[in-house]
Order: sequence, then structure tokens, then C-alpha cells
Amino acid sequence: MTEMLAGSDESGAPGASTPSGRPDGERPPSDAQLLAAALAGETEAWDTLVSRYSRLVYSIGLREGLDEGEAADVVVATFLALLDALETFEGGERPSSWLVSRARQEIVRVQRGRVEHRASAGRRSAVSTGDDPAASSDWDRVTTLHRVLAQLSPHQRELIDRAYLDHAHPQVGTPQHRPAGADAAHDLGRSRALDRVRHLLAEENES
Amino acid sequence: MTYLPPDPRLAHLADLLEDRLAPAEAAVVQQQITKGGARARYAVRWTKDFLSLAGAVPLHDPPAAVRERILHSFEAFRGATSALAETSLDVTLALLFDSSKDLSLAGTRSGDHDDNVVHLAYSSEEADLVLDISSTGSGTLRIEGQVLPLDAGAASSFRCQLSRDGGESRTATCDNHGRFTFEGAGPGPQRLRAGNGHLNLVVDLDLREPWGLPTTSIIPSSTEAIRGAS
Repeated sequence: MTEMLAGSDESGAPGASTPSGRPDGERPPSDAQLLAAALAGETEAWDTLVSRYSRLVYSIGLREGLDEGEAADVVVATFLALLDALETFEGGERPSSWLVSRARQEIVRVQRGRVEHRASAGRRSAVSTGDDPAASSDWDRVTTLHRVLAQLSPHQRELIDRAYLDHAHPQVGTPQHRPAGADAAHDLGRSRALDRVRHLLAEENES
Repeated sequence: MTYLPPDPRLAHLADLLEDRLAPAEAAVVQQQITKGGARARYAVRWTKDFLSLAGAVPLHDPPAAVRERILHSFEAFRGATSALAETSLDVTLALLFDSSKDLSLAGTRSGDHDDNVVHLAYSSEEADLVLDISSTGSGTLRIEGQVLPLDAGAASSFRCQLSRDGGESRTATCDNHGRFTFEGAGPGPQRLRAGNGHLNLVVDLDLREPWGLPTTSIIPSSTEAIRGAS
């Protein structure tokens, strides 16, 4: 059973001399680099940016109670707004934060449209204002996590996605009780990816 | 004898916190936490926080059509942006209707008159353009428009640019129906160009606001404040 836990120290806790969980490959291009390349007309850069954040924007819409069609509309509207803002995007602004903030505006717009529709039908409905400080803080943290995940290598990103984020292709919760050591290599990779996330989040907090 | 690292791996902590370990495995990780002291406790706290954040927004893939639509818009952006400055593609538009003049140039009277909105309609052989210009009440104007090409399916290929003479410019991408919006447009003469890489619809607008009024004031009549001209 202890084979599962065998190996080098992967903790990376404060006080560790070097950050553990090093990236297995080059760090992917930053959001700012992708934006600059998209502005220069590089389709691949735009595609990467869309791949990086469209799931998050879509999922935020679903989490806020939109149906699939409405959430899809929010994704399109949000990225079209980014396209319109490309030429004037300020260097100090983080694209991920901008996208999430804009997505929340679009969600509120959809919700308000619903309320107006229901009001005209004589029904009452609540709409989030999008300016709840506690909620904003939560969204900031979620956005930061996803910005950090975008910096992982594709392999590490996939490990984290499949284990903790991806509900379309879940590995979360399965198997409930693995045979000891059956997937030690997978555990090691997952641990390294988590260590990498922790290191990058610490870097974000310092910046 | 197998080496047991002093601190539990984060993956094992996550499995423990999610109750995904067999009892014997869980006991080993618990033992590591106990022996690991402050470092291990910090790792537990961090893992809890990570799982909470990761679970906050379970990820779902948007429909494939969403991605195609966004990529299509980017291609339109690429083509139209470079061609917007190409004056040889300019198409002359004729003003058909101006609600600020109350009577349309075609001779029919404006229907529901709204003092806060000016409606403009332009036409050409290749495409029509309609604009609704309204005061936001805070010293700026909102321009909502729709490009209506002969081929309605091509409407989303248009990209619009609002610019001052030799000055700043802003751009907007048309949606599937050719609709676009510029929020917070300032006063003065501005040129609106809507292009799809093959033709540019060009309209000169003279946007006016009663500056100097408190921003909360209701503008008495936008027919005096906003004027569009071809």
C-alpha cells in the first residue's frame, strides 16, 4: 500500500527550497502574448485564447442559472466584446479578469431580459446585480485559479481538468477505492500538477 | 522497506478530503499529516481551498457552434479591419429617413416620436444601414445600428469603426443579424465605417449634446441635440 505514497518529497510547502512540480515543457504563451498576436491577425492565438477561457465563461453562465442557449450567447457576446476591445486593451489589464467581468455583465443583461419578460407576463423573478462584494471576491479567486491553470503544460492541465474541473468527462469520484499502487504514476503526475498550481498561485499572490 | 515521504502528496490529500481513499490508504495519509506538523497542515488547508475553488465552477464545454461563431468573427475582424481604411471600397449611402427632421425624406411622417432617440436610415445598392442614436443622459450618446446587406447571411461579416478626424477610433463587431452598438460616443463630427473586406459603408455623423447641463438633467429635445447627416 505504501508504494502509492513512495517517492520524493512533492510537498512544496512554505519553506521548501525550490518550487516542486516543475512544468514538463515550455510554459504556454501568456494571455497578453496571445492578445498581441491576435491583434496582429494570428488566428491560432485567438483560437488558443478562446480555448483557454470559453469553457469558464460558458460554465459561469450555467452556474448563474442560465440555460445552455443563454450561456452560449453569453460566450459569444463576451468574446465579441473582447474582439472589439483588442485595439484598445490596456497592458496592465488581465484578459482573464476582463473576460469574467464582461461575462458577468452579459449574464446580468440576460437575466434582466428574463425579468422584463416575466414581468410582462405577470411573474416575478430575481436578478443578480453582479456587484455583490463577496461574490466579486469569489469570482476574483476563481478567475485567478483559471489564469494559473492556463499556465500549466497541456499534460498537467489535462490531469487537473479531468480530476477536479471537467464535469463533461469526469474522473472525479471514480474509482472510489483504487487498489493500492494501481495508478501511482498518475498520482505522481497529479501531485506534481497540483504543486505547480500551488507555486503559480503563490507567484500570483506575490505580484 | 519503502521510503515514506515526510509530507503527504497533494493528490493524496485531495483524495482524502474527497473521501476517495481506501481505509488503509487514508490511515497512512492521516499519519503523514500528524507527523508532518505545520507544513502538512498548511498543505491540507491549501488543498481544501483548491478543491473549493475548483468545485465553484464545474466546467462544461460550450456547443461547438459557439467556437465556430467566435472564430468566424475573428476572421471577419481580420479581413474587415485591414480593408476598413481602403477608401477604394467605399460605397456612397443615401439618407432615406431622419426622425430628427420629423418628416422623412421619402415623404412619410415619423410614427412614434421619441425625444431621446434619433432614427436614421440609409440605403445603397449593396446594403442598407439603420442607426438609432440616443442620449445616455450622462453627456454621451449610444449608437445602435444594423447593417442590412442584400445577402442577409453576410451581415455578421461586417465590422464597424467610429472615428474622429485624424483622432481616436473605436470598433464594434456585428452580430448574426448585423447589429452593432457603440456606447459612450462623444460629441462632434464622427465618421462611421462598416466594412466586410469587400465594401465599406461610410456615413458622416454630427453628434451634438447640450454640454454644460448637469449630467442628471433630462435633455429637453434630442432633435436639437443630435443630428445625423449623410
